[in-house]
Amino acid sequence: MRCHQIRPYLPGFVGGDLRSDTADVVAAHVATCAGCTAEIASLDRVRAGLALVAAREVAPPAGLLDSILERTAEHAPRRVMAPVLPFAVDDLARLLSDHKDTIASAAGVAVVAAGAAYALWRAVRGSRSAQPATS
Amino acid sequence: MQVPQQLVESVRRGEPGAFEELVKSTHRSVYSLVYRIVGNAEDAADVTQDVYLRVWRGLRGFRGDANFSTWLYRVAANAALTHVKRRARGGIPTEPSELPDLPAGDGAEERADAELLERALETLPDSQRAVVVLKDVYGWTCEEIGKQMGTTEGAVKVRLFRARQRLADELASAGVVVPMKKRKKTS
Repeated sequence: MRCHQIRPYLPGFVGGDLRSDTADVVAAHVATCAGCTAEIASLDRVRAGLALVAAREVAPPAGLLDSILERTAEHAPRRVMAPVLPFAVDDLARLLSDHKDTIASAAGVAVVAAGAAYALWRAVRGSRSAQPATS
Repeated sequence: MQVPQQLVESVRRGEPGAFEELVKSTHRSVYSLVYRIVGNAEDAADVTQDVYLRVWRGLRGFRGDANFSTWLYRVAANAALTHVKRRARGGIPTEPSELPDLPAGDGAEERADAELLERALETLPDSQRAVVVLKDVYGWTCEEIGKQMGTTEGAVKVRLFRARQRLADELASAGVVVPMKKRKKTS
């Protein structure tokens, strides 16, 4: 393999981003090539430098924090004004959703119980009105 | 950037001041990531505002299975990439802005490289810059980047390799490393 064939792969080689068979070919060439070894040193330096970039913060423009807070408040006033509850409204919604079958069953039982109670009340009331009046 | 889980829960519960505290403690890191992808301060400020709007709305769906910081970075990267795509469709050129001064630290050579590279990133085409920032600065995998950008892992690698090569050329132009053209040709 010649350098011009290998060089397009060097930026991937330094990052370990090549397939293993391709990396083997590149490694074999680099082992005998001073020029490509120097290129790898240069690319390694790029990677090392970029890894340091992450730890650096770019100073945001003055007023960005206020702009973010103002914009979110504008778009979500309901949530800003929401009272503090002992649970999140989202949690309640999720709870209801997760237990919808149980809730539906309980509601069904309640309806049946209410119907039975009403029928019983009617029956008792009917029997009382059917009794002869006593003086 | 580490965000305490308790703070995230406080925000989800709508506790007064919690969201403000969250923004205060994270907006610099988020702005830095966005800036590095979009390449200029004005766009980065707009996109960062969008990010927190998405966070505000999306916190409902954030169940806490994932690390909040990881999720926040994903939201930020997604917003920045969307902006870059939209800008590319609109044919609006990137206007590199002057990079703010950065605080000094130890390790002069590495610091100098990092500073040079940070500036050199601005000269890359949008698609290359986004890929190399996410991969080599923030440690994403090519697969993750591909998914986020809606492209293949192979296409990501092509952009990544070109970006690294261009950055190496920038270091060479600055005299930090020996330029390729001056190196002895070997085969």
